Amino acid sequence: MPATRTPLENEPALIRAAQRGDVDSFNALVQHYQNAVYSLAYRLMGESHSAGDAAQDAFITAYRRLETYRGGSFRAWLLKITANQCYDVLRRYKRQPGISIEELSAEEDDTTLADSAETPEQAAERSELRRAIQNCINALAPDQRLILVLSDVEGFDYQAIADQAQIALGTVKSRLSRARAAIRDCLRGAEELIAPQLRL
Amino acid sequence: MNEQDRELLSAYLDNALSQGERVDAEQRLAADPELRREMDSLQLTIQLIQSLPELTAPRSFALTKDQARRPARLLNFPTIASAASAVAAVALLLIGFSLLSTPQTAPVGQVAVLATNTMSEITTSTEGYSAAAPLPAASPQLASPTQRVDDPLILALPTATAIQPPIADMAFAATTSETLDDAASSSIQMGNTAQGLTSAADTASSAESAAIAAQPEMQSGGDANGVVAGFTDTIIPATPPPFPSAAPTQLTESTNTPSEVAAQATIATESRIAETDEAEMVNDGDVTVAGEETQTLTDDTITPTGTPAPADLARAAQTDQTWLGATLIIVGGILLVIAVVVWLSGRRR
Repeated sequence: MPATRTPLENEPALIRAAQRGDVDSFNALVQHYQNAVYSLAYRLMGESHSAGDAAQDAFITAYRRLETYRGGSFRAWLLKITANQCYDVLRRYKRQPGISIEELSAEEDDTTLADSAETPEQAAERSELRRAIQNCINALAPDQRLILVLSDVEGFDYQAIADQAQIALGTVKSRLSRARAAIRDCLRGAEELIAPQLRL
Repeated sequence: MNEQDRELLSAYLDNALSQGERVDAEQRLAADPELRREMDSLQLTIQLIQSLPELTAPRSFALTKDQARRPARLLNFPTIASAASAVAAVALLLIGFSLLSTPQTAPVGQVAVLATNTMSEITTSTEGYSAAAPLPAASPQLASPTQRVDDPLILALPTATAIQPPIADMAFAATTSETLDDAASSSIQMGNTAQGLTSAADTASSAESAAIAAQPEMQSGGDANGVVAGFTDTIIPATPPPFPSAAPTQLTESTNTPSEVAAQATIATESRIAETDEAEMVNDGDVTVAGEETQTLTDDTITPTGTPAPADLARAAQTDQTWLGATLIIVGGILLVIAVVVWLSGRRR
């Protein structure tokens, strides 16, 4: 589990201070959650530049709306703002014919060795597989992409996704099912990157 | 494999099925190899997606002071509404208290004119008085709702009413035997009384009140002042600078003693309600009132001799004023409470 999935020890105090206008306290929260926020933004936006802008905007929006935070998981609250931020941008992309988000190619460049047993070739293949998965995600319609990422990347349950996307529970189920089937079909074109035991 | 089966499998993998649905799905999976293969491929797909790691942010997203600056909040609706209500409430309370604390009868020589939104022309005359100084035509000073008028013939115009009776032409024809209507009519017919009381007030009762307000002045005698009250709904005795205690020099020409003047004074008051804004007075001493609908005030309570029942009328006016003041205070108080409640509710958000 990523470290940012566990809240900060003094998180409630930091949140209260930030709500009173203490930027330093809020920035402590930013430091803790910025990987999660950026990661979600990247999965939704599909490329690093837009993801960075969306993440920054999400933190600014979160700071200005701190009074609306009513307790609960601060991480979930932040990711909800991030998802909304990205979704708005994606819908704008969709309305602008000149920009095709599907054409954006994932640029994930994580070739660091996962463990000492991994060879450089294996690290490169792993990185290539992740890029292929991200490209398949990028090929999804924004509606399906949002549901898929929130469910299978961030681990939200159906009800939380329905609340987040403001859609019915049945719509979440159907969109998620179609998105998963589309990803599977997409990845079948990159089976050589997938370990034999994981071939689809 | 149809879409419903995929949805069933997807929800099954997420443990999002009810107990009954789950049992049905497991029975179908056990009996249908194709369905089982579909489920396996979906499960592998989910595993691949879940294998995506959390990325490292390429830079710090810590907010700068500029980014952290919250946009200045514009005044929101509750704030504006409560402020407006509070101002209105205070205004109503002030007016209400001033109505309650101010006596209805104005001191001798003082003119109180409260004009709101109508055009009023009121003049009175006193027998034996011959005015010499012409009034400035449509004098801007006289357009003030409340003002001091030094001329014994007081003309007060709440608005820029066209009223230019040359005082040199004024004479006094109204007699004690005439009713108000008769007096006014004869004045007009004889052309020697530059006295026009025209009022664009909405109701004849306004003109009645004007006559009431004028009455004490006429009875006080010595000054032989005409009193003008141009108003619509309410007379509020204003407190202008005191009128000169001595009668104006023009009055010394009168051979009558002040008491005689008072006794003989005839108020020729005529109020006409002009529906149009075209009321005008002709300078030759005649009074003409333009407009189809004019209404002549005939007030039984005011006798031509100027000896009505002023006390009763004043009491009645005082009562009206008291009621109005009390009503304004109550409304103002309610408004003030609403303003406070709205303001508090706005702060809680």
